[in-house]
Amino acid sequence: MSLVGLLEGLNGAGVRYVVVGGVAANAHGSARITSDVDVCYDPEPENRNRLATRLAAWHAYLRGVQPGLPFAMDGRTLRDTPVMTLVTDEGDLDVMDRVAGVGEFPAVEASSLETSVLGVPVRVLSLDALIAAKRATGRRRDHEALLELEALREERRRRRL
Amino acid sequence: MQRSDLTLGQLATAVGATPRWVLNTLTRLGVPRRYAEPLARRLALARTLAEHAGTPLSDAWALAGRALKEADPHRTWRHESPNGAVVLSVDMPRFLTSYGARLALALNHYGERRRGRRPRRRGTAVERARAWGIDTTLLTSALSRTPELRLRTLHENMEALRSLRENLRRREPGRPA
Repeated sequence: MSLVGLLEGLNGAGVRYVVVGGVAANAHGSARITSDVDVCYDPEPENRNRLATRLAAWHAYLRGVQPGLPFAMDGRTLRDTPVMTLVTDEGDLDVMDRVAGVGEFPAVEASSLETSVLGVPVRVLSLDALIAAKRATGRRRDHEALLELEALREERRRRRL
Repeated sequence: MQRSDLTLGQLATAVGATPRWVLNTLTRLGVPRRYAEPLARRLALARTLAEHAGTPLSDAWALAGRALKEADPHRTWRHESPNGAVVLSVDMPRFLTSYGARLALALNHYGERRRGRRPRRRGTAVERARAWGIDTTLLTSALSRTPELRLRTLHENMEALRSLRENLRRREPGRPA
């Protein structure tokens, strides 16, 4: 159960995805610890099925929902539910096929950068796109994260990073 | 699952409707506004029946109550009209999967938005962050590292936190050491 295990699993299954949210923010310098991984995936049917198969193998279940409710993890469920908050054998994972403020997967992928963690390649959402996403959600709990990301962007520009 | 602490927004997210639809429907049906999980589940099924089977909402509400009471959640529920001419079948696992996914979203506050006008911007972004109480020295420190190193640190932090939580859980009363 780890960030690296999760990314290795997704890469190994051939899933096309971009890491968004707190992990991407950390890649850009955020100091906020996050315990879940947010992933935006390509909703093209084959990719969706690959992701569903991977999630089913990880015993994905709905986070916060009492166990026992029937839950079918397959491509159809992903197609019908654009955002899912899950708990898996590899940790908490949120999957979505679009990012508010950025757009659908092609726009998300175009706004991402390639990096790696412990040698595992991963694409993460850019800082500008993360800020746009936080602004678009407009959630109270995101306000502090938004302030931090804006400060980071300003500091990076000042340093010409 | 007996949750009675849903807000109207959460209940509407779980149902897959707008808060206005929920309020109007509860008024039409004469159902008290107690925003609990069982109400969300029944409303979600009633809405599905009304939308996809064209059942009038009051009949859909009654059918949903019956289905949720009688049905095996792991099987398809069938309901015949009195003369057997019409058979309604509800794929309960499929319905509960999509309902559960929306409920999880609602519980994780995905739909919750900040109300009112955004506060006026004063000062630079770093000044605003500092004024909010964010330790901006952590940001400057992080910027001195590469993205790879930052992700590696996050990975190690997540691992350490997970291990810490596991250890604390093992020490909880009633759990074997």
